[in-house]
Amino acid sequence: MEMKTDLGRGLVLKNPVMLASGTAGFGMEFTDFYSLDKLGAIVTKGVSMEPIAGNPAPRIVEASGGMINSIGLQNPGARVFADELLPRIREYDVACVVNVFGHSDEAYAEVVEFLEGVEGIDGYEVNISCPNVKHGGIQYGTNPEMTRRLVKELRCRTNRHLMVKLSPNVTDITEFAAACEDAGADSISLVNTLLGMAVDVKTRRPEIARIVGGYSGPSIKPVALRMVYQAVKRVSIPVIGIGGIQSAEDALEFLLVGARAVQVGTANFYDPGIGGRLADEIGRWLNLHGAGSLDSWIGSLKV
Amino acid sequence: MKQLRLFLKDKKTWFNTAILEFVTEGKEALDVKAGMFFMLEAGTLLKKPISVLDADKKSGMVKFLVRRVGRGTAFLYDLKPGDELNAVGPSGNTFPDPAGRPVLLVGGGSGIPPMFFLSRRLPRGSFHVVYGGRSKSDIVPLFGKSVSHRIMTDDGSLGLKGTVVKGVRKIMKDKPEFKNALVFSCGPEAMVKALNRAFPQMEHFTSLERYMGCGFGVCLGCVVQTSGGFRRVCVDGPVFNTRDLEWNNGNEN
Repeated sequence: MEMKTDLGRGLVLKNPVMLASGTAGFGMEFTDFYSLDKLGAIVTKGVSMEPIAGNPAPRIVEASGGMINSIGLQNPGARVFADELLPRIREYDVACVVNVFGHSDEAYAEVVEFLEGVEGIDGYEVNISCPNVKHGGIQYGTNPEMTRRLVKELRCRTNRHLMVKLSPNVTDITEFAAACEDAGADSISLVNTLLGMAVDVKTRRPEIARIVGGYSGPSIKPVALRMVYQAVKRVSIPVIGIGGIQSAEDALEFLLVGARAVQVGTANFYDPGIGGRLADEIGRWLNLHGAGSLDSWIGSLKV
Repeated sequence: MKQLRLFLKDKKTWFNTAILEFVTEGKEALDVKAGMFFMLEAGTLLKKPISVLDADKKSGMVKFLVRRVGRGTAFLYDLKPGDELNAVGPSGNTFPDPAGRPVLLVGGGSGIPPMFFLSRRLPRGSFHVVYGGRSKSDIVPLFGKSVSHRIMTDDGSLGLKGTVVKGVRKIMKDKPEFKNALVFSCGPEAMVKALNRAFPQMEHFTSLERYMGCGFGVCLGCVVQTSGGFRRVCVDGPVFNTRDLEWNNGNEN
């Protein structure tokens, strides 16, 4: 089964399975479970120019078929990423998409400009949807004009693949999808986490130190699938589906509605081997059901 | 670290605590040291970190002690011999080698597993266990008569009445060789802090417990603030030198 998928501007993945940013670190923790060669791509933890310490604990809690996190983009900064972490990813045959983050237009531009001077990066995923920081992130991802302006700024700084990760915390996802396409993005990935909250009735306290956080996991899949479907209908650039994927069938659903690749997120936490199995399982399923090829499956939803 | 299947061979209960004895074919995952843990499937979305009570690579045996406190631990407590479980591990670091120094092994409540684990491996005479709880129901009968151990309960229903701090004082009085002992502990944070306050001169390593998302270092959910910044309890710990823990210096997190 041919599993290759073309996301545009030279980013061709050998299979449609990507690890979602923030659920895979910089890949190395998974090498105990499988070779990263098995993946189409890894999307790194959000990288900012300067290191970020992250939010106070507790940062994570299970909630209603999913979990809530507020990590706060803890990362070692772009220099440490380039010098120490990227070379280890490059030992594997896997595309490396760097999730980039800044607190302002200038800060996003600065990290991309720095990474432009670094070899071995296959593309950027612009993080305009992190709900757990005061400035940047979701502030951009819930304002179409800020989204458009930022993507334009970054577009003129790179010829590498530029993916934009969208927030589901908006009324009309297609408005943001279109803004990204207009501004020159090569692809969009969606969805990031839904804003959520969990409280403890015994202690009367929030379960997360920052009170609200990002809700993810199997329970958000129907919301994500709907948004991916709407985005695919609106734009002609590739859409990457993210949200609650924990099996081949989940991934096939996103591909069916038109996603050209998928990202596995929360499932990496409770099933660390999933990234190593998923591409084979998708291929096997397509074979078994006489789907012909991955390409012919993508977007073949009958409505 | 591996994904493996565990089969429950035997289960013993003591009030709200169960000792679960599993066997596995994934024997290579049983190179375990004190303080290490496995993430166990627990009827929840996220697996639960459970400290190893004992393990034997040759026979493929691994034991856990689980106190029923929430949904995940209730699921584990209710398992029956013959049940199977998905697990990920082993994860975590371990205590330093005492290198001949005497060691006080202080366990509070369900924090006893790493202390029991160590008691099975350290040379007899080189350690003394202090095992504390609120009452008899917290103290699982784990230690045989030949293992030097002192039981402390808040209500005096078993062992000596009082906290582990009182227990440590008594041992130091009875056995002066323990005056300069290392302290290895695992238990409620209030207990760990009380030990540090009472014996500030003693070198003290503790195994922390935290809510975890993944248990193998990627989610960054279980961090603790140390003098060197946030550290992941799952892979940078769970064992820390208490002098490096900010919460021990009056700062939270």
